[in-house]
Amino acid sequence: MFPGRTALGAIALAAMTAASPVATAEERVVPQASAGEDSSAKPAEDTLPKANPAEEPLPKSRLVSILGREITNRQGDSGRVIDVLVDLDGGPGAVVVEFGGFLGIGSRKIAVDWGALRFVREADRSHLTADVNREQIRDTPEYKPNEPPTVLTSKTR
Amino acid sequence: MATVSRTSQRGLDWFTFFVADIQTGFGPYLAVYLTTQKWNQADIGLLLAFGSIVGLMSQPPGGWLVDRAASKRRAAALSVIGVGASALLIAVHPSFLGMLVAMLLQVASSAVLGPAIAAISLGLVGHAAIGPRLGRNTRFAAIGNGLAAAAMGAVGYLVSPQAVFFATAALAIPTVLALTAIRDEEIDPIRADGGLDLAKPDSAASSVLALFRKRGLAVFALCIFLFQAANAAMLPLVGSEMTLRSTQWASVLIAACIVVPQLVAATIAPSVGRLAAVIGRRPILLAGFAVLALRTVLLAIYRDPASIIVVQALDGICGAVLGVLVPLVLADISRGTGRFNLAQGMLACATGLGAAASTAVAGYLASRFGTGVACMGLAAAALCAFLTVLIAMEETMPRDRSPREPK
Repeated sequence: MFPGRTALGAIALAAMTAASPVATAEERVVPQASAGEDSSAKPAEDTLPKANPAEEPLPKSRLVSILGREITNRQGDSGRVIDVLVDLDGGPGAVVVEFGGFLGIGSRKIAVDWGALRFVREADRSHLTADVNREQIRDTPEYKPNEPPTVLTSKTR
Repeated sequence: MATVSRTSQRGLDWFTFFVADIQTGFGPYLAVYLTTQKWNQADIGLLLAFGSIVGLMSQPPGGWLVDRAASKRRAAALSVIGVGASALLIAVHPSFLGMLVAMLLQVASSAVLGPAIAAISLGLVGHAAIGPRLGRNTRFAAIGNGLAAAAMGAVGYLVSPQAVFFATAALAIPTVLALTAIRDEEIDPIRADGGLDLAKPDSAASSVLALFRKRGLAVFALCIFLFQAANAAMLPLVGSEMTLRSTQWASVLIAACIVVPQLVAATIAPSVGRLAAVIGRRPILLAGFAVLALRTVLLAIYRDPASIIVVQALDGICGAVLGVLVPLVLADISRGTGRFNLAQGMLACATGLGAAASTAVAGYLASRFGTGVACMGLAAAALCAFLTVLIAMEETMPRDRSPREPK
C-alpha cells in the first residue's frame, strides 16, 4: 500500500544513474497533460536502454510519485503535495498543496492548477515549483475534500 | 512524615521535563510526517480518528491501572518505553499496520504516563505539600514543551520529519534515567492513590462508586470540559490566521505562538502552586477561567500578528493554572478514596472530549462564517466555563488544617 523508503531509494538511484549523462544543468519545463509523449523528453530517453519503446516511451524508473514532494514558488513559500485531483477523463487537473504551518499547526491546503506547476530538472531529479504568488495563496479559499475546490491558476495566464 | 530527598525531587523535575519532550512529535505533526511517507489524506484521517477515539477511551482505564500498580515508578517506566518504542516504529515502519500498532502503543502508554507523574508527586510529598510540587512539575513540563516544540520543529525542517521520531525514541532513554533518580522507597504507594487520610482502609470509601458519587468531581469535569471546548481550537485558529496574514513569517510566528505561552507558564507555575496552597483553589481557577474568556474575546476583535502573540502569552497563564490545579483539585476531591489516578483518567477523558468538540465546532464555524464567528463561539464556551466555576465549583482545599502543616 505504501512504498517503503528502500523502494523509493532504489527508484531514485535508478533515475540518478540513468539520467546523469544528459540532464546536467538542463532546465526543462514539462507542460502537463502531455508528459507521456512530450517531445522534449526524447533526447534523454535515447540514451537509455529501450525495453519496449512502442508501448513504454519512458522507462518506469523515470516515473516518480509527487505525493509528499516539496513545492515552492518564486517568493520562497514552500508547501507539500498532499493530493492530486483529476478530471472525469482521468487527466491531472490540480494538486492539493499544504502551505506553511509549524509542527503541523496552521497550514493551509490550496488546490493549485496542474498547468501552474513547473518541473525544473536539477541534475538527477526535478524540482517542483508553482507559478503562483504569495498573495494568491493567501486569497484562495482553503481546499475542502467535500466541496468543489477553488483552483489557483498560474498568475501568468 | 519521611522527608523527601533532593535526588528524588530533582529526578521528578527532569522526568516531567523529558516526558513533555517525548510527546511533542505525536499530534498534528504526525500528519505532516505521514504525508512525506506518501500516505494519502483519507488514510491519515482514518488513523488520527482511530488514535483520538482509542486515546479518549483508554484514559480512565489507564488511571485505574496506576491506582492498582504497586510501583508507580515501574508503571511510569514501562509507559515511557512504550512511547519510545512507538516513536521508533513510526520512524522505521510507517505502513498502515505499523502505524496502527504505534498509535495503540502511544495512546495506551500516555494514558498511564499522565496520571503517573501526579501519582509519583503525591506519593513523594503527600497532600500537605502537593501544591508547590505541582507548580514545579508544571514549570518543568512547560520548559520541556517549549524547548521540544522549537527543537523538533527545527529538526523536522532542517533534517527530516523522520528524524523527529528518531529523536523522540532517543529521548526516552534520559526520561527513564531521570525516573531512576527518584527513589522508589520514598514514593508511598497508598498516598500516591490519594488514600492517606483514611485511618483504616474500608472498602466502601474506596469503591469506584464512591468516587463517582462525589459531586465535586462531576462539576470539576464539566468545568474542564467547557474550558477545553473554548481553549483547544484557539491554537489552530491562531495558526491559520497567522498563515493567512503573513505567509513568509507564518511558521516562525506560529512557533512563537507555541513557545511563548510555555515560557510564561514556566515562569508563573511555581507561584500558582504556592498561592493555591495558601488562598485556596477556587480563586485561582476563577482567575484562570477569566483569562481564557478574555483571550477568546481579544482574538475575536484583534487578529494582527502582534496582538495574537499577546493573546497567546495569556495562554501561558491558563496553562499554568490548569497544569497545577487539575491534579491539585483532584487530589483534594479523591482524598481518602485511593482513586486519585482513576479520577485523573476521567478528567483526561473530559479534556479530550472538550478538545474534540472545540476543534470540530470551531472548525465548522471558521470555514462557514469566518474566524470572527468561530472566536465568538469559543467566547461563548469560555463564558459558560467561567460561570460554571463561579456558580457550581466549591472550594476543595481542606479547611480543617493549615495548608502547610507545621511540624
